[in-house]
Amino acid sequence: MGDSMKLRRRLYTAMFAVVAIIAAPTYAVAAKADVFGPYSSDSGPCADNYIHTWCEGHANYIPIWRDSMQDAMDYLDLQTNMTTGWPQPCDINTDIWYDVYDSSVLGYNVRGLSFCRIALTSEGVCGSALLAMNSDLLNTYMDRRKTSCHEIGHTVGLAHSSQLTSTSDCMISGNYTFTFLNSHHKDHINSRY
Amino acid sequence: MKNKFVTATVTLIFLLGGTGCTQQASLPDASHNATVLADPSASSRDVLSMFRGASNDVDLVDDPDRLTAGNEVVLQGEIVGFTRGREWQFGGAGTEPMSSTVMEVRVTKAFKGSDKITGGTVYVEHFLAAGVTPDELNSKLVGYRCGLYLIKAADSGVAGLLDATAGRPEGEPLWVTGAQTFVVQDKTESEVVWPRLDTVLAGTLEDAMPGGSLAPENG
Repeated sequence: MGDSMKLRRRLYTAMFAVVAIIAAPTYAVAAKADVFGPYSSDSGPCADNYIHTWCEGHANYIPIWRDSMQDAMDYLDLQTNMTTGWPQPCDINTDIWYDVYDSSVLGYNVRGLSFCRIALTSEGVCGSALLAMNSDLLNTYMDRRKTSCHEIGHTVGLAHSSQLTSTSDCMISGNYTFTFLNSHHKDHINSRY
Repeated sequence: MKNKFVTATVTLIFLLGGTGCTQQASLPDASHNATVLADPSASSRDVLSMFRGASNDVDLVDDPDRLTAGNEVVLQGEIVGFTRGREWQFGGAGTEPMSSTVMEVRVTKAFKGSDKITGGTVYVEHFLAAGVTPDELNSKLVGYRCGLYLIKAADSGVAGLLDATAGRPEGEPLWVTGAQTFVVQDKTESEVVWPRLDTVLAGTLEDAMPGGSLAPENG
């Protein structure tokens, strides 16, 4: 076997290894690739722009409910093109009206809920959303932080993650402690805002 | 030879990673033999469309019988209509209230809590996205068969609730569902819709009720 043939085989082997490394985790995530933005009941509508403000609906919170939400908003600010801020009094232009209720409002086994309260276009751009978390189910900081991240994700148009993988992010539904967005979801956000 | 290799590599990348960001179907879940439908019927799509713009983070339960244990009333019925519900001032004092939507359902079969159902009808509160009106709901969803697992809705004294008794006849109890506990049978009688989960599975409503085994999975 000539040197050029050996070299070519080594090159092909290396290329296959690179392809396998790149593609294998992608396959796991792509079992159910997710939609982004307008306008299913899974993805939530898109926000109106990159500035994403929030407010507390009622002044009866204990700090643990504010902290997890603030931390999740800070994370969105730091890790994506979105710009957030500190809570302010709710008005018609505030992007997220945040509140805490129990299962008698949100429903059985619903950890968090968000819906568009002011639709700007019929195609699913939302001017302001309600985000509510369930005080019956979210007992720890990690529970609250994960669901804050999850519902904030919906307010900017993200859909649910599908299969549970090592790279799962907070957009998976249910009792998990993922508090971050994976690169796939960050890319979705950054591609729009 | 190089061209063949390049072709094979591109094909491999496409097969493994190129399924795209817009594909909505998920893999069938073998444990429940449930098929998540990528192309649901027109009536299933009608049901889903009425719950657009709202999303949930949910603890899913893999067995309808376990859902029954956690809820006060479990029933099958037929959707009679939708009306404007109660006023909620979610943004606090001085902000504009918004209305919930109340769904009226005629009960055809009670699995649990039949003593709590008065007059053969239940009233269920939903929070729907802006732009989804009772008129639109009535034009699309009246007559559909549905399954409900219910708990009592919040009463007076809850922050932001302005008119606790509104949205149904005087004295009638008001109920709420979770995202997994409101199920609709499509018009072909072969698909089951969880509108608040954006999920459609092949099957019948009875499969998703106590004694059945159909349940949605994450994703």
